Amino acid sequence: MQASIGDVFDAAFDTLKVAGKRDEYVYRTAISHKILMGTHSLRTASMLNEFRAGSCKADLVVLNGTATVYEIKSERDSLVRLANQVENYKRVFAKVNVIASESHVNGVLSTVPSDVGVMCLSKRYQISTVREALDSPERVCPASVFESLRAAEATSIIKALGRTVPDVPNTRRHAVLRELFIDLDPVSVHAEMVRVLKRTRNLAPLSELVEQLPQSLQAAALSIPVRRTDHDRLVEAVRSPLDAAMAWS
Amino acid sequence: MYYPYFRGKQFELITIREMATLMADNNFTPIIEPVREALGGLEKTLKAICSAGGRAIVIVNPHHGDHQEDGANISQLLKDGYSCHESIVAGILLRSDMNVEDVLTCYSSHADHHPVFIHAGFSAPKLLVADLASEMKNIKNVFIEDHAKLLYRKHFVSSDRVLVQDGFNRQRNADYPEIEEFSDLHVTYSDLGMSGFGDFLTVGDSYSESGGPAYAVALHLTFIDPDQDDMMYIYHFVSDTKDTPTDPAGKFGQALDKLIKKLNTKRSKLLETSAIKEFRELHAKGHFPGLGYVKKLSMKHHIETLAAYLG
Repeated sequence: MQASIGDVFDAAFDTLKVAGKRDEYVYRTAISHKILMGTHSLRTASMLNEFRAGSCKADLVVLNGTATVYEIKSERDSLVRLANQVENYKRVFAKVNVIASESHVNGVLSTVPSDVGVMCLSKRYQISTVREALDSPERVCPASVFESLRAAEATSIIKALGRTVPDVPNTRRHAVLRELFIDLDPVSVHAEMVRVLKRTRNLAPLSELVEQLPQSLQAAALSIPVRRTDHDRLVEAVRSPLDAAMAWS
Repeated sequence: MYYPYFRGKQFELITIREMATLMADNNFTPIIEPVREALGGLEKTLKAICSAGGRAIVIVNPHHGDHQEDGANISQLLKDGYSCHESIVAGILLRSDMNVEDVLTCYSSHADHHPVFIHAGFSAPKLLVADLASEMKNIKNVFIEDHAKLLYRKHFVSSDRVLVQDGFNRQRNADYPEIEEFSDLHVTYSDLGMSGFGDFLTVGDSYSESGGPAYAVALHLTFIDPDQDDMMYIYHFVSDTKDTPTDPAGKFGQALDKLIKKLNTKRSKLLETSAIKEFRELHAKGHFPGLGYVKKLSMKHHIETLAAYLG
């Protein structure tokens, strides 16, 4: 049978998957498949990509009953920024994990504090847990959480926790919301944040698209926005035979 | 005499519509490069210009946006006709990737719409002038200054010439100085042998599809300084908060505070235009109307300032 565009992507991914060459996308795919869609599902859990947390951006956050951040340190990455990243994530998410290549595991263990989980993506593309992450919502900082959210998300958390948001001109709104937010209890804020984000950043509508794409493109489909009307075109394109695609301009 | 050059995004088109009467009364001719696939907004804008008795140049082969491959829909829109057929003319961009033949083909297919040449990188002026010979003196030639220097413009000396210069020095919002020079063309264009002049308003020539998140909000407002031989300057009022992409409304509030403070010194030299009045109202209400709306006010203020000077 004739190779399709999708087969080409899968073949490219297999090349990228060889230990020593793997980049962030391979790790992202492993987490998407083995944790988000393996342990959980797109119907019960959600995922955030490049989510702002303090002065950093979290690679991947999985939301189920709690919020777990996964910082990826592939063999192509350095650990220079790791300590600062982890500090920032702890202010927003209850569980912080670092997933690293075997070569980085010892470096990670000596860099991050003991409440941070450490995982390893093995040469055989298996995720193993070196150290469990502690689930500690009490250490999140409401001000940092607030800066990570959209105004509407922060507003619904404030309301869910029984505070009223006064009616002010929109140039003042952010400051007023912030003042209310920073007084909230960290554990309640975290629980509401998880609930709100699972609703506002729900991935379930993408499950049909993801199921129709080759394995190698599924993690991309979960992180790169594609207009609903383009879903069918994308699926059709990756199913096209390779020689037809060579004629595309 | 004044030819403001607009990339026809939503708020640019709204600005033209709202300024249609003022521009018509002052003999201003907007140059519009359509960049959005949907042409409804453009059509509404051209109707507003017609009913105000104004004129416009519509670029039929845009360099930026959704029509850069093919401007056929724009040509069709012009053909489908306006009651004021004479006053909406076709603008042909003469770009670096075009040869004389391309220009002549485009010229003849828009002959009914009194084409205007807009020189923007074209490199064979001598051949073009030779080919069009006697017709050239009836063609308006608009030069984008960065691409059409003095030596180039000399070829067209017998025709009606307009010089467009980008006075806006685009930077990251956080990096603008409080004040800088904008342009002196409104004073000097006739000394340069031009019948008119233009600019890219307070937006600039550089084109982007959409802004990213704003780390800072900046208000750009021009003024003419009678104490400096009527040189035009531009103020940049920039928010203090610059380190996160959040809260554009609050940042607008900070930038607006700076503008109002400057106005209250009574030494700003900013003309009290309808746009400035609206900024005062927004300040009184503490309301942020959106970044597109703010850009519209900045463009309106610029047009009103030039209308007052030239009128």
